[in-house]
Amino acid sequence: MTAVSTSPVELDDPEVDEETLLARPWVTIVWNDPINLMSYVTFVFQSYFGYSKSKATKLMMEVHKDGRSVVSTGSREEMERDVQAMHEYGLWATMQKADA
Amino acid sequence: MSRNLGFSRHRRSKTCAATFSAFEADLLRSLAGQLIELLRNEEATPHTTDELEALLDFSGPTTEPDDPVLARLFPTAYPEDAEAAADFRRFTEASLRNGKADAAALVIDTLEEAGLPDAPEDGLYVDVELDRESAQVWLRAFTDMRLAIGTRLEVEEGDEDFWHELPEDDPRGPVHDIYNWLAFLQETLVESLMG
Repeated sequence: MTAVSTSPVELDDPEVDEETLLARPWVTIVWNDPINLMSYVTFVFQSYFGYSKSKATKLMMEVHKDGRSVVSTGSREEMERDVQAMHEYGLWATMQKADA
Repeated sequence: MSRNLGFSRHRRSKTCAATFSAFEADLLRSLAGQLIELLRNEEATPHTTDELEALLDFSGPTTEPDDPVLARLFPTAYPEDAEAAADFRRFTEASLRNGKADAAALVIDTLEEAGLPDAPEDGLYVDVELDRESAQVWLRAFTDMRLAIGTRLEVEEGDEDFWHELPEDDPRGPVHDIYNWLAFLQETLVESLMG
């Protein structure tokens, strides 16, 4: 569902440093719990992550229906920050490697 | 408690406002106070049998709290990696505890600054006005109070019938009413903040 350009493309020399490749394989997962309000969980996703109302609502519904949802992806350090923030907000969050 | 309309947004001042009866304000203060006590009760220090280690490592706890409420407030971040989970806990739990206690303390301060006396009499009303920042702190405090009560009550998803059919003399009944009342307050506060 993406648009593809057919004009010639010249690729720059790839400058992907190893750090970047290795630094993003972690995810923050928020788990469903019977206590938190749907409106509040949506509010948290919007105000902490800066997600749009529709993205925040979609993630909240995933948590609600599937029992869990990946709410952010990034380096291990970033995910530790996100998990700590979720705990501050009272959400039940854990982290793990993305492919785990 | 049925007369309470919860929070609404003041258009001009852009604050979230609510009026509490003396009973309600006193109840909120008491719940916030209990939360602070709980957070400071089970000491946030490492559980270790090694004396030297215990003396040197005063940075934070490494094991899940025994109390189920505290275990819910401070979940294990790495469910499948005990060592990483212990490190995460050591570096975060103390500051999370302080943050949550500060949030509850702000609720108490707000109520008292709004005129809640030590021993309120019937007929007194307390008008609370929250700016955006304090509204967010109140939301977190409501959450922690609800997590504490809900965990103690062992609430489950879709258990409304159970609570509805509870015998009238069951002591859990009034506690669950308070739990629902907090949900109502939180819902109206989220709405007035987002609206």
